[in-house]
Amino acid sequence: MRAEDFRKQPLELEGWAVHVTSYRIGGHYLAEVEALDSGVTIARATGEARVTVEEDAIQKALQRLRRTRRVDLDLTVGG
Amino acid sequence: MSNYAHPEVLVSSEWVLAHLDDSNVRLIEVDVENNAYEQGHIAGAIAWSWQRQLSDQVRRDVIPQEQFEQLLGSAGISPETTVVLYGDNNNWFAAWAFWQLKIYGHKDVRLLNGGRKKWLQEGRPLTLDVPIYEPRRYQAQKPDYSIRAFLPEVQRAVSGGSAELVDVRSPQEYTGEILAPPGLPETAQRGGHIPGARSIPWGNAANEDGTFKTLEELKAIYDAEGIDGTRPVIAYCRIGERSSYSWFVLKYLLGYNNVVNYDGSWTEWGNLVGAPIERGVAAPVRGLVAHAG
Repeated sequence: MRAEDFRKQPLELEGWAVHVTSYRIGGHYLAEVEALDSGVTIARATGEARVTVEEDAIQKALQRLRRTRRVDLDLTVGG
Repeated sequence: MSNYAHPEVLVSSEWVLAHLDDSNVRLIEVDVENNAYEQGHIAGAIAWSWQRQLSDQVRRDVIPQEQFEQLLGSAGISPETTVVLYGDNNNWFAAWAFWQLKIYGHKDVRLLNGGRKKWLQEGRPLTLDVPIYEPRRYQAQKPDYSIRAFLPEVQRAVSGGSAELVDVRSPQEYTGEILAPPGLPETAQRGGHIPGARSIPWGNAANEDGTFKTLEELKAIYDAEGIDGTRPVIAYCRIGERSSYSWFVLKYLLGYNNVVNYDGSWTEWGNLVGAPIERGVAAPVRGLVAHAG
């Protein structure tokens, strides 16, 4: 058994750049949504069909990203 | 990997494949939880959950010595065992485990360069079999907190400049635009960074495949921010796992001796009543002149 059939797609979700990566291990597909800036894996999903698994992971990621608030900052040099 | 200061703490996928049947080597997959492990893991590997097994969730601390000894003993690990750690999430939690094993004095700890990500992408073999090892009695060393920063040490660095602070979070967390990485719970009351901290995100040290950049590349990244090993360094992030990764880079790959991990990190400093913070982008490094073009 090994990971195979990789697919990686860039997306923007709620204004955040992410990668959706999916692959198959044995009889299951796995999908992960990773935020590019932080490297954090926001959501994962597993199931039998790639499309369903990717969509499931994206929906979970959307739910979590909607809770991330952005603060308006005057980004002048500090320190 | 040979020109790092301590190349012996890194192993390649090929090395792991060649040692799958080596009884003196114990493979451990470390992550927040064991979900990824349960989908398939390296043969012979056991799983450690950072949340349930490596953290004292009541005290907010590393696990106590007795619990640590039980954890290692139950995995059939002796003080002479070569422990190889790897994990998802870019080896962050594997790096935390590395740091914790060093606190308790385990001699031979190594990281699989590239972690789970690279192993999967290379199409290396996986299994669902969960191994059971004969338990052993493990005697840890007394905790060595010289590699860990507590709050007073960070306060001294801020007030007296006793150490360089390195913030390894994303640029948006550093500036204060967001309070936690996108999609994760906000666990601080305010955004920003510890005064004087340099922003050197953990990911600057990683290649696309999850392996570490070369010694020369790492040196250039940290030099550009005035971190050259001549002064003590305190690395921090949000909860201490990304900073374990950067601590590993600074201490073992670059060979800077006086580097500590502040695991209280932003969830401690950002919530402290009356503690000063800064917001916005970093000021230029003192003593370095920027060149255009």
